[in-house]
Amino acid sequence: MSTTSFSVYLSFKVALVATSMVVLVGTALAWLLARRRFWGRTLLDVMLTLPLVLPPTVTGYYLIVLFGRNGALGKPIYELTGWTVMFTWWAAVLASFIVALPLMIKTARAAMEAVDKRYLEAATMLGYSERETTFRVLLPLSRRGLIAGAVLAFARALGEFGATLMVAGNIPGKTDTVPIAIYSAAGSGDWSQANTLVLLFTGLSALILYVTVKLVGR
Amino acid sequence: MDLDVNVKKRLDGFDLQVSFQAAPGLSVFFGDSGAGKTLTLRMIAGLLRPDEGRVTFGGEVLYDQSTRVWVRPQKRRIGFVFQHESLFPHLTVQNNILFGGRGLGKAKSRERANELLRRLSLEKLADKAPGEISGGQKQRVALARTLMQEPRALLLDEPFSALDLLNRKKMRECLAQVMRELSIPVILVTHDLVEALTLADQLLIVDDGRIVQQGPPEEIVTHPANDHVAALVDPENLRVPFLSTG
Repeated sequence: MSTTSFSVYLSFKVALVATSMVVLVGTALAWLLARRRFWGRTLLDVMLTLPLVLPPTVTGYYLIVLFGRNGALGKPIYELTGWTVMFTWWAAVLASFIVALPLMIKTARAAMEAVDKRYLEAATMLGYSERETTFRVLLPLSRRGLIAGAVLAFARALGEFGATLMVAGNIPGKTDTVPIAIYSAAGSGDWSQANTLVLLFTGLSALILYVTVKLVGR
Repeated sequence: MDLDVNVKKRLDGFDLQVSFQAAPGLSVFFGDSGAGKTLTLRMIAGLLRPDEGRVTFGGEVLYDQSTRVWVRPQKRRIGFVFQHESLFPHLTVQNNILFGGRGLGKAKSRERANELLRRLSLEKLADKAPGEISGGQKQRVALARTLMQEPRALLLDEPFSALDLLNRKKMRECLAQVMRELSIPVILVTHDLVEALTLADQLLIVDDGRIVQQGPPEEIVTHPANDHVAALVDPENLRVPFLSTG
């Protein structure tokens, strides 16, 4: 596999895995924020939104503090398994996940909150439990928002650079996703390689946005 | 089987306190908007928890504050038709009706749904989306969906209020037909005097969070409890001056 195609393959693999996790976790968290009132709800909302506004390097730094070999979570994991997530492609997944998660949560939550309460009450009066109502009424009626959130998260994950560089590094053939490969190519003066990757990536991103607009409408 | 309601609720400075019995047949809640009619229905349904009181159905306690009994709305088997259309927009007419048959099993659900489609003359609309049918048809579908679960009581929150005259008439006939076939308590909320006087077995006049008078419509019209009730049910309200002959 050429270095270009490896980077493209790695980028998509990382973005797909991260997006799958984002969709599951993000939908659950969006539901929690939209449908439940609990102590610390605003704090949770703020914490989950932070990666959207923080510089990716700051998010990456937090991830090192948490998951590094001496990190709060990283240390026990390393002691138990001898494995560390740092500088593997899973670190790139982790970085993309954290950075893309708020986009899914925001979009999914807005979609769920826009579902008229009377549909949920109608299902309740027909005997459906809250869980059944969520899966059979709330989620189907939030479908467009969920798809839009997933596509946005995917696009964000695909373009992740800063936090990924902090936790996964730039290891050719191992963790060099397209954005990182472009950074190296430009840094070392390999303009033809940089051009190929840039054009490819711009085309793909435009395509993703086009599909989103078509799916969600307007 | 009677529905026995005695509830109190304070909400944003509004004080509601109602007590009544609904026997099988049609009880009509009549009064100005904001009198507490919808609020009362929501408390019977279990969508809203009263502050105090007791709701029973034929001896079964659905809610009792003093003994902390609370039956969840899902378990009450009470049908509710909302004022605004509440058909699931992602399901066809037929699937909306089938949705009402939770726990019935596929074959039985289909059979009942087909029967209801026929009885409420909705057969031609089975495969349409809710967005493609009229307001009157939507409310008929909502009624059919509610009847799927064979409710033991039916709460209708101004289901005709958004309809034009012709569709209202149709809906009334449809309701009268359903009433003949079912022998359950039905509570209809309305502020349409024609509906109140022509449909009700029992009329309950609601004003400012209280039931000020209850009884057969003719009795309330002939012996109103106070001036406000008299003004509310005055048949003169229905007279169209230029049609009167003498």
